Amino acid sequence: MSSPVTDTAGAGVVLEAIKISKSYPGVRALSNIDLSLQAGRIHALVGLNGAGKSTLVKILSGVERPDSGELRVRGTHVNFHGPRDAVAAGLVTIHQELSVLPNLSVAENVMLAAIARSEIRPISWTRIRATARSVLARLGSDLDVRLKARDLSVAQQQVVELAKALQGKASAILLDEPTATLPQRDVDILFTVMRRLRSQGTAMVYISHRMEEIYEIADSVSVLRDGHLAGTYAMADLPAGRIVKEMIGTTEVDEAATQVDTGPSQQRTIGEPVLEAARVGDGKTIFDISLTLHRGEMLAVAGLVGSGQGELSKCLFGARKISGGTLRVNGRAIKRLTPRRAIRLGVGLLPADRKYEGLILGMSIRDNTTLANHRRYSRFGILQNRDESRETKRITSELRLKAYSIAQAAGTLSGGNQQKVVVAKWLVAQSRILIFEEPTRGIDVHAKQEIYGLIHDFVARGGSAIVLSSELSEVMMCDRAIVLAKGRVVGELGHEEMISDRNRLLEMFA
Amino acid sequence: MALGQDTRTPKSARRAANDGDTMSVDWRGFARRLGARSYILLLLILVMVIGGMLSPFFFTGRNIQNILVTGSTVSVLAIGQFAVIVTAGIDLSVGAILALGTVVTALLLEHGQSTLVTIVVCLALSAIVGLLNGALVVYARITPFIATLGTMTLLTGVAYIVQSGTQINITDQGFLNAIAGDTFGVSNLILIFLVVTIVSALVAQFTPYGRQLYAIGGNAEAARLSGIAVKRDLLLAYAFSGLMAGLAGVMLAAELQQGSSLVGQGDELTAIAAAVVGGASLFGGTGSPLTSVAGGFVIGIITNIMNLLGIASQPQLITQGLVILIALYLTSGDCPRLVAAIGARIPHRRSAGGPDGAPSDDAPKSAATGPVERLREP
Ligand SMILES: Nc1ncnc2c1ncn2[C@@H]1O[C@H](COP(=O)(O)OP(=O)(O)OP(=O)(O)O)[C@@H](O)[C@H]1O
Ligand SMILES: [Mg+2]
Repeated sequence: MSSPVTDTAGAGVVLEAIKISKSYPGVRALSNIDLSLQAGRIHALVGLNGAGKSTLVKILSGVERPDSGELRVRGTHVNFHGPRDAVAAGLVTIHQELSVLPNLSVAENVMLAAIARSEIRPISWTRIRATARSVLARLGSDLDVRLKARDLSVAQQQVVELAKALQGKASAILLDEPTATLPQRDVDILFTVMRRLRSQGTAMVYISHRMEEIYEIADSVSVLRDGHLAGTYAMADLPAGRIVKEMIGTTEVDEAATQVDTGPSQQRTIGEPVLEAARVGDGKTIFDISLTLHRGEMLAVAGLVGSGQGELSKCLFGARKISGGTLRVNGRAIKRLTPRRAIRLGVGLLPADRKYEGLILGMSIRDNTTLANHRRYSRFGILQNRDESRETKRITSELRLKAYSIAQAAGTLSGGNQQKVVVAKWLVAQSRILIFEEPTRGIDVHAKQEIYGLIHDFVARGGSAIVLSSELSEVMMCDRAIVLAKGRVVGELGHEEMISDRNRLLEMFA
Repeated sequence: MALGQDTRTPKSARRAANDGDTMSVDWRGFARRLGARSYILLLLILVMVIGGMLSPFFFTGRNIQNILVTGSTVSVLAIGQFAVIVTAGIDLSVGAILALGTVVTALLLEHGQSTLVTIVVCLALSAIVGLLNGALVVYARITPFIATLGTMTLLTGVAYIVQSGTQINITDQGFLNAIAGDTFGVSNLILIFLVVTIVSALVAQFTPYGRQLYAIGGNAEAARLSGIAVKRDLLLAYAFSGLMAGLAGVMLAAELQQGSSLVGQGDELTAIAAAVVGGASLFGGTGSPLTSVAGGFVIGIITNIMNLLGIASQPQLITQGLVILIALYLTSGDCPRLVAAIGARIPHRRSAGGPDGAPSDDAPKSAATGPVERLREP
């Protein structure tokens, strides 16, 4: 049986949060949260979208100030007035949006704080590079320190951030959903680095919606539910499935809702081709791609981050110029496809990068939801606000969007809830063909099922979907999968083949 | 809590019952949003009270008429400017278009053109110049600041050459009466400004086009991927700004009874200041035509008060500059965030609202666009 870890305010406690509360207008994001981080321990923070995880991290990192409660670093009371204070106290945060400076070299990024404090003076590039190299070596990385940060992969950038933290003698590192955008291979790299840091005595907070990661890396876990602390447990004595139950709340435990559905698609009638690409390329990242999507079909485009998925979906939607090949929608060849035309033809795109491509952050949930289909909500050229609101309320409650009002600005929603608004937008746009880029990135286990269910429903009603994904389970729920690597199609598998020949799929993936 | 399935107040339930209406415009939401921006109204009232205290002439009918007439052209300019600013652009050429507008108007009248022809030609010309601005921004991909700076310089020269003299007086009584005359005791200039204000406020709030401009200013890429015709909408916004500048030119020509290439200098800055004091961010996506007009009047009234007090023009400039900075701090600086933060600390009062009942709708918006949020984006 699991037992709550009691506050062992021993020598190992690096950071303590005591009865932290924080409200935003209309929502109590955190109430009376206690958290204690021990040196050399990885503490996971889990909870559904909007539970308050990021808010807690923001408070610990000095970005936001708590309404009440206390923070203690190694037993002494601290008051953070900004992120600088937190860094000075040895708390480094790796936000989901990385903060490496793209125009600086790896060495400069790693040594930034030291350079700024003029610790190395006169500035000696040899010394800076050497120190940066040794810090990276402590993380087991042999990255070329002269590379510009913008040329690095997301995973490499994360390593740079961790090195920066280490160089700044961080005693605690807070990681907010670092793996949401990482391919599996890079998750392993990150975990190796984290384990190394742990053995060197660094305390860490780790946030993720992937339970298997929590079980793999964390020593203890705090579950947040609706801004309250549902419990803190040592991982060792937690039975599988318990965390998810705690996250959802014991009253509505629903076994089915906690498992990713990979079952074969029901017997659907697959109809005529609705979207065809023949030898499509953009001349830079994708080449010679041919695919056919039929009515009532769910087609997966499997590929790791960087395999050209994003570019392919933008081409299919007309948001990126194609340099060769032809596109057909509903059998008709389309010469110059633009997003606007694509939408008219019933195609919708749900981009993975919701902040920059999916949402108008300053706009309300409602205005974002109806943005792609103003025609439907206007009569005689006047927007029918009430129709918009009704439809938005319906779809957002179906998606279990957590917000206090549909007039709330999209930018104030938690990460996962922002993603739900993007999904809502395309579901109400009455598209016939939907292209999902990483549809459940950053989405909690509970809502994941809702979104899968919605895709299934959409297809069952005669819609067609392309799911571009790097998650195996997501690929396997589709009728057919095309595997993409380095911008080219390297294989195609039917549903049965995916099930029976899982290894082959995995191979192609890597 | 999930939306739609929770705390349905009797009010919203009743409203749902009314959903059969053919037109279902959310007036209540409109009023609420207005209420959230009431600081600009408060500011307006504040400067009026100060005016009343400092000068016995302030609340006389003549002075108020004076404020309104002067404010008319500024408001029309500010509304045009707002349409561009909301898309995260800027239009520096409006002062020059206005000057050209007065010159063209005077010239056409001098050549015996009818009032109607004069106005139509002047407005069309201004809209075309605006369209040119838009084309420079959209197709030539020149930043709005530089593009409109270019047209501004160019047009100032053109206006001077076309005028070919010091100024052109307007003697056409028909024209003067039509634009600057009175209807039921109210100056037509004021009526024109009222109509323009109301129409543009409605367009901004209740039409797809208005919503799309906000979307483009908020995030142009996301807007494009939502199927919004970003280029077309931008072209139209610049054309509209030009059109409004031309209209202001016609109005000013009638008011001054002359056309001159020297008028309107610096008016683009007043228009920008009006929009920004009214809460429009130069980063786009915020503000409204109404608050832009209010912002213009805040500035206009302060000028008026100083004129009444006989303050010389240099100290006036200093005061004006300070007022703009203070107003900016109040509307788009750290102040709204501060207010939001204080509001959030008042326990539970704000969380009482249902899905669309919370009175604090706009508070988080300002928080989201505050410096902290912006910094976090790479
Ligand atoms: N600036 C803000 N204004 C208003 N509400 C906010 C603001 N920031 C966060 N919230 C609200 O606080 C709650 C907690 O958000 P938080 O981002 O901490 O969730 P989270 O647990 O990180 O979720 P996710 O898994 O989706 O990232 C949410 O309901 C969110 O809408
Ligand atoms: Mg979060």
